[in-house]
Amino acid sequence: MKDADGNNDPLDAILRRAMRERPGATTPECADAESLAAYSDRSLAAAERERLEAHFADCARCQMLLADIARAEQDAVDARAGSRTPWFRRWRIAIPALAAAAAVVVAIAMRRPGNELQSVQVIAMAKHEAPIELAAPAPAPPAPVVSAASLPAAPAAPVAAPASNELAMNEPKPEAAPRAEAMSESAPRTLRRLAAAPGARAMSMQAGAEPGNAGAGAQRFGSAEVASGAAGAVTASDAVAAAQSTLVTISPPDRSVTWFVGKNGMVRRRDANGVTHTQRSGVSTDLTAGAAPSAAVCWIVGRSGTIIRSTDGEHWTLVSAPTTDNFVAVSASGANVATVTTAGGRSFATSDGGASWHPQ
Amino acid sequence: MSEAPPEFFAQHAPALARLCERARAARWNVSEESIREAAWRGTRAAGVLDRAGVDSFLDALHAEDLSLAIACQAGESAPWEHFITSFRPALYAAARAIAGDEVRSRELADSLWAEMYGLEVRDGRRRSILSYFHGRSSIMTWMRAVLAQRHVDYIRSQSRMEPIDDSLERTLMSGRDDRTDSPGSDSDRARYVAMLGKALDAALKSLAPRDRMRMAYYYRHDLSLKEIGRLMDEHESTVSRRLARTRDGLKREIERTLRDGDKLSHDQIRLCYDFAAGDLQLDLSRALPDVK
Repeated sequence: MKDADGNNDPLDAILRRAMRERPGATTPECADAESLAAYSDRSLAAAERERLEAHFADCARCQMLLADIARAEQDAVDARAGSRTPWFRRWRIAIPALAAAAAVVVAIAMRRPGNELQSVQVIAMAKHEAPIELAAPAPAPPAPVVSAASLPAAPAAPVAAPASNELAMNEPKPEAAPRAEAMSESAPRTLRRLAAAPGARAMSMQAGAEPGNAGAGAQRFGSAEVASGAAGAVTASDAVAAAQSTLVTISPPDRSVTWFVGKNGMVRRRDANGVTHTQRSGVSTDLTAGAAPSAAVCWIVGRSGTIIRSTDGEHWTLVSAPTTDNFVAVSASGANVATVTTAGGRSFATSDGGASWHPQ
Repeated sequence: MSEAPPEFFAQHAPALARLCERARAARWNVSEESIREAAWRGTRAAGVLDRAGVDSFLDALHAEDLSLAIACQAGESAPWEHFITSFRPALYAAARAIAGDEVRSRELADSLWAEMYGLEVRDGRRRSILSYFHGRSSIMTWMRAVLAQRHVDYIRSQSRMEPIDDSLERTLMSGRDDRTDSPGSDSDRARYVAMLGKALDAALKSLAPRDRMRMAYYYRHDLSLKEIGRLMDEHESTVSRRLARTRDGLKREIERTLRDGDKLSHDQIRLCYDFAAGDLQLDLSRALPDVK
């Protein structure tokens, strides 16, 4: 806020610092989730609202919860407003974008005729998006890799959510990640399918690989289910969301751990007890795909010929790559054996941990 | 076996009938008895006692969301399909808005799905946190509230692990900043900041609760005027006007205290502001133990 002269008043800085406070623990006076929600929805009677406000005025925790709810609500309102934008306004932006995309498609098609799939992948890379694999199989390794993490995820174990409020206090929370087996047969089909990725966490669709197959570790961008539009919970909008995300999840066949990889060399690992931590990848390029034959061995590829590998599940080393092209897929069956695929569809295999590569 | 006293159903029969009609419970094969039982539990949880209050309470319930929640707790396939299709994108969007970080937001949302499905089985029944939803708000807002609770708990658990700056702690204990030996750190500085802190504390406490809330949303939680307005049921321009008025009043009150109580001159008051705003590296909130 500025004063009458338009200058920033020191009082504003002081207030920001003076009022900065970490949220405290729940007190008996704190509102439960439903009261907070009802207050936000303005569904409360005046007396109840007034009573709660007397508490909210001095409770940093409740204020923070209300602020989070307000942000989420405003976000939803903005999203709805965006979706109601008149078509002619959207097209004002979309037409140049489509023209640019079309130019790229034409250029690639002229260079590599007859390979529409690769074109789509290259465009997606150019837009910093994860390319989705179309229904047709890519000219790639047998056991593909990686699923986009923005896919609808399975219910996962609550991570680091200490007790609070009536829910937390009264309800023991699930300790472990829900597994498909834990769900009864009466569980809804969609939820069972969502939970079929144990530990978590993203839907990991094994195109062409049997679960538990030693060669699996490998999934591919997007998924067969998304690509084919196969089934219930996975909708076209999910596929679009997947394509728009750069976040990729990688799990070994036993699903004991999960790596999340993405932009700027980001690698995070979630271990079996649900704890997630960031790992030093040693690279700063965008990472696009990965394959984990086991909880200790993982291969990750990315843009500009980036290949990194871990053989202990914790530390990463840069692997000499056969090309500086963008990689979009990798499959691996061990610490030494892997096949990487470029956005242009070229594949290279190694059987000595990346010391040498052979075009496929 | 019904937990509710029979007189509850008898006394509020018309309101319960309206509730059942609005709930469209047959759509999910939810019995009217289940709706009435849920209404009783909600009434009890909200602590509504008087007869007229109960009727108003029942009429204000989000009946359709309540019947959907009851159906989902039963684990039926069709309501779950509907629930997932209707709310999953919004739930993930809410988690992103609350947590910010993509990975963390997915964990948050996934975790809530698990809790809503209720994987823990007790006495042969799954325990779902949906049983805590009584229809007092829309189910989407309730999910946002639970996400927010989980997120705040997570922040608290993380902040417990942050190292404490020992020198700052010593500073607060001793009342002066011993980290700096610069010529600017004169002995009056800590005294000036302490006086301003005390005056600010008193001024904040004298505000009306809604004024304190508005200030907190703006200065502490960085909400936009629009978001504050939505939360407090005020127009954006009203929020802006009231914030400015409160802040000006606060300033007047602080300066009055410093001038009349602490006998500071205009220049000394200016120094208080300057020291507190810029010079000190310590977190002023820790110097104001009573200000929440």
